[in-house]
Amino acid sequence: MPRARTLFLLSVLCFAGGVGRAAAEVTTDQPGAVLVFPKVIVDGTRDTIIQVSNASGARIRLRCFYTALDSNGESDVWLTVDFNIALTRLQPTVWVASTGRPVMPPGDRPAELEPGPVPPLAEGFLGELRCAAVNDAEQPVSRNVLTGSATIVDRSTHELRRYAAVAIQGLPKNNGDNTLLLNNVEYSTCPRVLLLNHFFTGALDPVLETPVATNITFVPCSVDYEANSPGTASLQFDVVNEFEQRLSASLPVRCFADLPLTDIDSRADASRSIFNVAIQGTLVGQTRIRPVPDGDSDHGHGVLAVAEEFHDPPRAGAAINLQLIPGNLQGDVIVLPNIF
Amino acid sequence: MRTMKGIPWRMSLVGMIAGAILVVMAPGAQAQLTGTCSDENNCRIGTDRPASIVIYPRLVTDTSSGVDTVVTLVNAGERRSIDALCFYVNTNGHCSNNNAICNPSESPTGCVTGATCVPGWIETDFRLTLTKRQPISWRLSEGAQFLPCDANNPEPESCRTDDQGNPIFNSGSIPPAPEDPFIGELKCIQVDEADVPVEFNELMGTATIVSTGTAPGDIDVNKTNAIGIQAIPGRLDENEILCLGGEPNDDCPNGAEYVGCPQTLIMDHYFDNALVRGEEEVTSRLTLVPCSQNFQNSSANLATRTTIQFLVYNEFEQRFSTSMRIACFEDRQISDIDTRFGDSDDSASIFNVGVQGTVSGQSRIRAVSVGDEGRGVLGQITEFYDCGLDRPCTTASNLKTQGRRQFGDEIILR
Repeated sequence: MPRARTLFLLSVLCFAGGVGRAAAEVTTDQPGAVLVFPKVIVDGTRDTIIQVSNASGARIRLRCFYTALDSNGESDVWLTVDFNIALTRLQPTVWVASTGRPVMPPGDRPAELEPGPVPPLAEGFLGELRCAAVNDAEQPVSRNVLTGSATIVDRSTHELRRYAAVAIQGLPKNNGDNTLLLNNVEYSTCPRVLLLNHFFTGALDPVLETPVATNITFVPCSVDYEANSPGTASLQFDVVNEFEQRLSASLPVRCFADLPLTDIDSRADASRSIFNVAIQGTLVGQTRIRPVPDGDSDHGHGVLAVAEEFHDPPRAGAAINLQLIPGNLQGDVIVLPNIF
Repeated sequence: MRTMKGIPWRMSLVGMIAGAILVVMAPGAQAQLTGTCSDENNCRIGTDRPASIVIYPRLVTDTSSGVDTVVTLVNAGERRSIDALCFYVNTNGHCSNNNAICNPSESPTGCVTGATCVPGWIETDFRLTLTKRQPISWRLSEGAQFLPCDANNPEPESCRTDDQGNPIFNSGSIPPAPEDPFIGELKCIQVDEADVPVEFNELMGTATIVSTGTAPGDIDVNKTNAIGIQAIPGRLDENEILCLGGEPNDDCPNGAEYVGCPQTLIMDHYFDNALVRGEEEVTSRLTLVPCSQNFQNSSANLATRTTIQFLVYNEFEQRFSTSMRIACFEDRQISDIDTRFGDSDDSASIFNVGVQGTVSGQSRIRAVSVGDEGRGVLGQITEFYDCGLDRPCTTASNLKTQGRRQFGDEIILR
């Protein structure tokens, strides 16, 4: 019986170990240990400017990963390219996605203050950027010191859309291996619910009296760079209009999804979508987005997202960070590739 | 004799179940499951959480120039309906000679020679009810005389009914901005039917500033989330003084009722006149609003001046610093923080690329407490790009926050 009693106590402690843990969250307002830029685009007319800053008084290194979903004609291919940069105390840095940062620092810059090379992205890139704070040995660390933002520039319309990178905060019990557990032990869990306040597609902007359209980009929280395996998620959408009427939809996401709201439930005919003003009858709505947990014991299926709102599309737009309800019921995992 | 086989694993299973129950019942875990916060450790100020106080730091309308703001306020909660008490704060300046609207943070201010631009702080309050999960939006210059589910709405729509089949109604109305042009902030506080603040953290919102240029189809949009201040459950003492952070004192016997304002704001920005992508010149405006506000005695807001300290880091890790004093609202181009208003000497500002030598910077903003007054501030940044049109292209973003202030702030309601 003593052995049984010990097992009982250990089991209680293991499960209850998460209680009362210091608060760490996924946030767009505070520095974190992992930054996620859900949408980075380089094409004929659009480019993305990435800003990253070190909010602490000590140097920090970052392992960063561009990823995109591409198709080779037969099947989807998950492309990834990674790079390392270092930021000195309180140092900001910026680069344009299409040109990156040079391998050799410009002549007028001290080499020790140069963050490091960032590869340029080829035209046609549509994906995400994810950066994790690491130490000089490239082991992940839970130092919540990174802030970032991305500005999508549209040369054809002269539009700029800026959003804050989503920061995943780290917690003290980080074992420093390449498996980042987003389980409120090593890092905070991904959101349980994402909230998007938006105009319904086709609703007339009250000022311009032009139609409004919204685009949304999802990236799974879980990703395995070592196995080159993207994350997946199944999303439930709960849409409430100004009359408190509710409709719902769902969407599977693999690796990356960037689509108009109306494509979530009605790709063939946007006017029949629950995100369309013709169906909803009001200007604005509140959409709750919930990743559905499953029995997967390896990792969860949380998502992060950013939205873009276009007034008189595609002319005038703004990027929007979603509100986040913390506490995904299933922990996510980010697996970094091993160094060899 | 009973064997011991099987008992240990059963005890483990029982232990796991007991642990899971502990997890679910613990306040921190409850907060995680419901999405609300339970104590000071997990309640936050931010733009990505529903809250009990939402602040829109920068609302503008100038219909003659084609600028207006679309404001959205949302009930994020599962409750049947919630009430909000909102305050427009009109920070227009007025010329001392003729009361014409002017801008004290610009040069020229808009007043004739000899007249001064007197800063203003005038509040207009209104109340409304939002039904469960209801979003509403309105144009700042027009307000909303009738809400969607208002029983008095001359164009009634089929709003929902409650569980007993009774129709659910909005109540209240939203006035337009008190002046046009207007610049100021909006603050909404979740209250009950008697206008007593409540702790349910169910409000969120956005502000979309829409600008039209002179050419047909020339439009610009920027959008930000409202800043939310979460209430700490169990702390509200239901009086008219809302205590944001801080320790117990005479005004705040329970100590902090809401989360305290941040110790530091982090502004990641381009230096003024930097060329983004080598071709688009950018300038930025910083908007700051104080955490403390007195809606009982409006003149007290103008009389209270807060010192703001800035540390500015460029990409070479070089640091410059400056400070300024603000009253109740400040909306200023960053190059005017340490130089005269106007662009005549902007090139000498530490916020200018001409001084800094790099495109981007990180500025850390700290409001200086006075005695035991927190004097915290909140804010946002708006970027103006020279995009080759007859008006700038803009983006707006919220500032990052870091740390908590030692002393608290107070919002005093009427």
